[in-house]
Parts: sequence; C-alpha cells; structure tokens
Amino acid sequence: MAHQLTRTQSTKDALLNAGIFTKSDVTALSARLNEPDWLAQQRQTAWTVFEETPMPSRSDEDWRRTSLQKIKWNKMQPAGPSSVAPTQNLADLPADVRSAVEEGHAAAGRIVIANGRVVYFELDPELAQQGVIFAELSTAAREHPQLVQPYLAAEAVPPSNGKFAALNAALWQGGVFLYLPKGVAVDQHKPFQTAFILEGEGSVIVPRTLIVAEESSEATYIEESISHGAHNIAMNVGVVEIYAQANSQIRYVDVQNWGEDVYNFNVKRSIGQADSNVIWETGQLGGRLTKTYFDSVLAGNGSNTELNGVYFLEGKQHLDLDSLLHHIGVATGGDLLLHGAVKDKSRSVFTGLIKIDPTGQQTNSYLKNENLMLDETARTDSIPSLEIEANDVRASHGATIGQIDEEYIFYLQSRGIPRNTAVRMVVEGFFYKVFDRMYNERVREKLFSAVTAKIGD
Amino acid sequence: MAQTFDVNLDDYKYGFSVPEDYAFKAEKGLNEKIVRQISEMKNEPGWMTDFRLRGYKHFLERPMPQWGGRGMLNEIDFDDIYYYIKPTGADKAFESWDDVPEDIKNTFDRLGIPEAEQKFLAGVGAQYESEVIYHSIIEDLEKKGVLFLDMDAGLREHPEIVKEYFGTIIPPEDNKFAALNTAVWSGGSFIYVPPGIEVGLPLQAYFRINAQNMGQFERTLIIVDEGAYVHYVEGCTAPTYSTDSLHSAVVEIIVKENGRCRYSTIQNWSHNVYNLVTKRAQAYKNATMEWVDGNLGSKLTMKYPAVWLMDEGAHGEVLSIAFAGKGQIQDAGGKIVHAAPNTSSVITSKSISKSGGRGSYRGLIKVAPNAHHSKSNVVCDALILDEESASDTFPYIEIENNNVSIGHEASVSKVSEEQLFYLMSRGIPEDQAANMIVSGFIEPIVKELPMEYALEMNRLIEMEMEGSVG
Repeated sequence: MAHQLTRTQSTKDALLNAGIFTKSDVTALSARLNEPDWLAQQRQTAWTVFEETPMPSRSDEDWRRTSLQKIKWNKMQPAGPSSVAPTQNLADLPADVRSAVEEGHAAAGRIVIANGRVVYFELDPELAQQGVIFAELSTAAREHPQLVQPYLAAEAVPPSNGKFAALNAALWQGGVFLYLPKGVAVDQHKPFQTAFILEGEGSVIVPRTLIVAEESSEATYIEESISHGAHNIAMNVGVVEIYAQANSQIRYVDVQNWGEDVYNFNVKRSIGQADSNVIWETGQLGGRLTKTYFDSVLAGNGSNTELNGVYFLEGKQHLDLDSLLHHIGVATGGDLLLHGAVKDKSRSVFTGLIKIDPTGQQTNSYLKNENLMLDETARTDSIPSLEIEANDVRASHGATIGQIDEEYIFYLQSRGIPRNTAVRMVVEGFFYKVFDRMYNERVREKLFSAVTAKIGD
Repeated sequence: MAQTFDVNLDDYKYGFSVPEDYAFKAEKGLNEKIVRQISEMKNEPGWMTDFRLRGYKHFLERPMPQWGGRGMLNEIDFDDIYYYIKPTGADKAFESWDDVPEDIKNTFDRLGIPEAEQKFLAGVGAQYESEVIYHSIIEDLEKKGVLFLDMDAGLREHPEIVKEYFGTIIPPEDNKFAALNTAVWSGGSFIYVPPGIEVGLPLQAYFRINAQNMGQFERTLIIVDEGAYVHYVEGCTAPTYSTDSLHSAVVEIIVKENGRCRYSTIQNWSHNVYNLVTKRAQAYKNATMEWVDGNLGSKLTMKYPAVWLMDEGAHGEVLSIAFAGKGQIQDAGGKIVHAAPNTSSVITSKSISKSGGRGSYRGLIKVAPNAHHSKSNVVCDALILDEESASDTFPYIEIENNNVSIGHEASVSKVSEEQLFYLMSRGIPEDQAANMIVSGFIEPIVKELPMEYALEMNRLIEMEMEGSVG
C-alpha cells in the first residue's frame, strides 16, 4: 500500500518525472565546479527537498490562477553550450547583449552569462581595491566561502521556500555574487550589470543572484534577461537573495525580456536590517508563463522597501506576480506601485500582501496595482491583501482595472494626432506614473524603451 | 504614547435564557435517519426529502474549508449538536400576540419586540428555536398578495413557488455549510412580493437560539417580482452558553426586472456561536439588491453576502460592518458577480478590531467576459483599537472584460491622536471623543439601517466604547 501511495504521489510530480534533472546531475555539477563540501552538501539537501516538495497545484492559494498542467516538461533539458563565445572584449558580443549591459555607459561591473556560463566579465579595478566582490557565484563560493556560506540559500530563500526555489538551490549554475563592504557607496550612475542569455530549443537555465550589502553600503544592480532565437519551449528557474545590512541601500532592477515561449519561475526576496532601503524596479515584458515572487522582509527598525513595476502582456502571455511586504521591525516603510496593460488573450495576476506583525508598530505601508485592459479577450485578476496585527500603523492599498479613456483619445485626435499615436501616447502616459518614481534616469529610460518597443503601433 | 481602548464586548447584553421546554428534540449528531425524520415530522413532499438527502451527502463529502477561521472551524464537533428541536405549542402558528406562551413572551419582552412591532413592523415572524411560532401580517399586505410566512408554512401552502426557486440560487453543493443547511433546514422566512407592490414598512423576523448546543439552520427564500420592493430585516440575539452553538443559515433572493430588495442584518449572537452563513441574491434587468450586514457577535462569523447581476442594468450593493472583540473572528465581506453588460456594484466595508479580535474583509468582484460597461467600486476601511487586535483585507478582483471600470481601495489605521487631541481641545472628554471617532467611522453604514436598528447599533458601540480610554 505504502509503495503504491508513493507512486501516485510521484506520478503527479510531472516536473520531477520529466527527468530534466536527476540526483546524479547534482553530484556531477558539484564535482565539475570543484565546489567546497558545504556547497555540495547544500545542493544534495536541496535536491531532497525538491523531490519531497509536491508540485504546486491550483489547490494552493498561491497557484490558484496559474496552471502548470499543460507545460510539456519532457521537451526540456539542461541548456547546452551557447553560441556566444567567451570574450574579453565587450565589442565582440551580439548587439542585443551589448545594449542590455549598456555599452558606452559607465558601469561598476558587467557579467554576461549565456546558458549558465560566463562569457564576459569586467569590474572597475578601483572598486575591487575597496573590497567589492562582483563575480560568478560558484567562483565566489570557492574563493570567499566566509562571505557566501552564511547567506546562500539561507534566511532569504532557503530550499524550503518552494518547489522551484528547491530546484534552484540544488542546480543553480552561472549565478552572480555581489558583495559591498561596509561603507562603500557606488554611484548610482555606475550600476552593476548582468545579462542572462537563454538559447536553444528546450533549454533550461537555473541562475541565482546573491547580493550582500554590508552596513552603510550602497549600489544599483541591473539584471536583464534575453532570449536568443526561438526556443519552441524553454525555462528559467531563478532565485535572487538580497541581504541589506544596517543603513545600506540596494536598488535591484530587473528587465524581464524572455522570448514568448519561455516558462519563467522566480523567487526574489530581500531581508532588510535597521534603516536599510531595498528598491525593486521591474519591467515584466517577456515570457510565455511567468510566476515571480518579489518579497521584502523588513526585519530591522526603520527599514524601508519600494517596488516600482510595469508589465505589458500580449498574445497568450500569462504573468503571475506575487508580492509581499512583511513588516516586522518598528517604523518600517513599504511602497509598491505596479502598472500593467494586457492585450490580446493575455492574462495578468497580481497578488500583493502587506503583512504587519505585532512588533511592526508605526509601520507605514502602501500598495497599488493599476491595470489597463486593451482587449476584451484579455483578463486581469488583482488581489491586494492586508494582514495586520499591530494597531499603530497606516496601511492601505488600491487596485483599479479600466480601459483607455475614449475622451483622451478624442481630445488628442481633435488636435490632429492619428488614433494609433493617440492610443500609444495614452498607454505611455499610464506607465509614466511608475517611471516617474524611478530616480535613476538610465533605469527609467531602459525600462521605458523596453515597454514602448512592446506597445508598438 | 499608544492609546489602549478597553472596550468590553464580553458583557453580553442579551445574555439570558429561559427554561427549555420542547415538544420534540432529535438526538444529538447527524445521520441519514435524522434527516429523513426531520422531513417526515414536517410532512414534506418527497422532492424536499430527496433534496435534504442530496445536501447531506454533499456535506459528508465536502472537506472543511481551509481558510478564514480555519482553526476554529476544525474545533466544531458536528456530533455534539442537536439538528432539530421543536418547541411546544409550535404546531400551530399564532395569529395574535395573546396566544403566545408566557415564557416565550417574556423573552420577546426583554428583546423589545412588541414595542417595535407597534411602532414599525409590518409583520412579525418571531423564530423561537427551529420553528416560527408567532406570525402576523398586517391586513392590507395580505390583500396585496404579499406572502410572508415561515419557510415550513411556505412549503406547505405554496409548494409550486418553493419548488421553482428553492436551491436554485444556492445549490446544495455550493459549500459545506450550505449543504448542511439543505439537509437539516428548519424555519426561516418565505416572502413573495407580487409585481408592482411596494412594501412600505420593513418586514422583520427575530431569531433566537435557546437550547444548549442547538444548531439553527434557517432557510430564507425571498422573491421580489417585477417592479416590487421589500425591505427585510433579520436580527439575531442569543443567550450566552458555555458550549458552542452552530448557526448556519441559507438565504436565497431573486429580484426580478425593476424590482428592489434590501436585506438588513444585525448579527449579535453570543460569543460562543459559530455563524457560517451563505447569502446570495440574483438581480435581473434594472433590479437592485442591497445587503446591509452588521456583525457584532458570534465566536466566528464567515459570511459574504453575494449579488449576481444577471441582466443589463442590474445593481448590487453590500454594506458591511464588523466589530471583532475578544476571542472573535469576523470574517465578513461581500461578493459581486457581473454576469451581464451595464451592471454596477458598490461594496463598502468597515471593520473595528479590539481586545485581541480579528476583523477580516474577504470579497470578490468578478466580471464575466460579456459584462462590458460594468462598474464596480470597493472601499474597505479598518480601525484597530489596540495592540493585540488584527485586521485583514482579502479582496479578489477577477476581470474578463476590457470595457469596465473597477476600483478597490482599503486602509487600516488606529484612532488618530490628532483627531482625539482636536476633540479634547474643544472640551470633550477623552472617552467620549474616542467614541465619537468610532461612531463617525461606522456612520456611513449605520445611517442605512432602519431607525430602531441604527439606535441599537449606536447604543452597542457606545456601550462598548465606555471607559475605553486608559
């Protein structure tokens, strides 16, 4: 009987059963990367958690609106070598990659990772001198275990976080480690830039980013994800962990531009200590199906978080964003603004929770999700929630769903602007409310051009 | 300095009971035999017996909801509940007040019913235990063809109407507690308002639970025909007992073209009652359905009055107010389904949590693909009066049409010290000032209640705020 039960359970786990990855892949990966024992062990443990964690299903509240039923897992395999050859010279990289890492602009450092392998790397020597570490994660784990081990897959995103977080912890490859020593503030006009390239039919990549900002440090980190060529089907399983120590500030920017045949699963989570500030800025544009968590844990007194996000979906795209502002410390602040537009038969789902623990007195938290429906075949669900266990707080949220106001279009047309242009202007204006909050003009421009490219005519 | 408000909801106002005296009391617990027995006792037609059994079957199969007051739900012992009790003298409905037995009258006297009747009421269906035992309808309503009966009498006297609508809005398989109600329902109101008839005065029924461990499963069906109007008022009070009681009602309402129905509730069960209620209305062309729902009592309330907007021009409103005190969970809210074009809806929710209580708003706005030009606005405000209390907001918004305008906003705060300071600077004592702020907070909903309810609500809030500022 017991045997049968196990079988039933495992037959339900389509992802595990597809055999994209096996336990021996985990061992082989650790051996190939010559990883320290603690890391090899961590991967093994994570694999066990992955095996034991049931596949998310629509009976899980988080996954009620996102079905994994129709994904053809058996058409996927670990990504092979990329056609982008490793180089020391930025100019050798393909144009879209150069644009992603903003060739010609100042940068603190750049890493380009294609199908899980580093193909380009640079770091401002002056910053290296000051003790800043910006490196491929596996290399960093070997060279700076004392800085990586306490944080990797630890408090922020442990394997127990969920099925995909466990898979990532077991099999991440081609990750990024950014370490800011105490008191080092890197100018926001010199961001750290990472590009992840996904290439090949059925390719699966498993990137992981770990950012550790020591006391009173500061930096802007930009991540862009791009697809090379059509995949038919491909998958990204990512994790981002941010540890912001006292009085530090991290601006994490994410331009999600996967091809429209990519299944995209991410858990991004920050833990902020006293008076820290973590700012998430994101443009969610690509992907066939995306489920991404942006979670901010405000552990320290006076810590703060902000999220400025936009999404634009078309075709059959499905985007499910899940955001948590968890207020634990005293006098913490949260502010989330997310604007999205849906076209054709696309569907967006946003779940945003402000959670205030009994300890979180004097919290001030705000969350807003606005949606523009551009076609009657599109669908939008918005679930902004509050769970509040402290009394001396201010917490509010709002959600709106509407369409383009014909009066605006009429006005613009009456001024001689063609209808297409008028619609485009109104849509851009709708997004501009979010871009206005992005202090770094390069980030603003980057996201704005990514969105307008998608709005098209 | 953080203010603490020592509001005392535990001095239960209507906490009294009268000796039990029953004509029939089914054994504790539930099985198919008891379901059949209830149906038999009531001389019901075969289809209703089958319907009950269908509900019973689904009740057994359906798992317990794993959300809302999950912890408390799992504590319910379904085997420790009487599912049917028939008081003595309940075999016949009373035509006049004089016929009502003295001890029951005493109970009503203490609730102030006869007085209310003289002043406001069109008819009184007073529910004592599971059977409506007192019932009066003012003559001219009868002449207009308005039917206002208890549900059992409705089934006996108008089986064709009941059969047409019963269980069509809320089928037995809707949820676990609707299934339970379908199996063991008893009492409740049956109202039919013929086309074009406006019932000027609110129809009112008082519900009482009196026996220990007594489940109350009333079933209400209201049909408002074309162009008709009715306001139905449901109030609940129950004596305090030490073991838990279960109240699981089902209310179904149909509002036909151009009709309007308002259903007001002040739920003030004692703090050991589980109040798990399913309420749903369907509003047809240009019809209006309004739920005014106040939740003060009970241990756990899970109740989300719903309106399905079935036809063009239909309008739905939910006004919800919840007061969660010590040991209480008020999981309340509203649901609106826009199933037709040009429909509109408003949900307004106010909740107050104190002394460790938890007030949750849970709601749904759903716009079906064909429901273009739908408009909906949801506003939820919560006030938390002390450090031990909690408040949640879970609004679900599901939109499948682009030509819509949907807004939702919610805020949670405490009694503002600036407001307090201002009022005190005008010479108003602190406790009174806090009381004024709380009264102001719930005022938008209280003003929608019939006068005697508004008075009672204000009295309750005042009483609860007394001496609350330390």
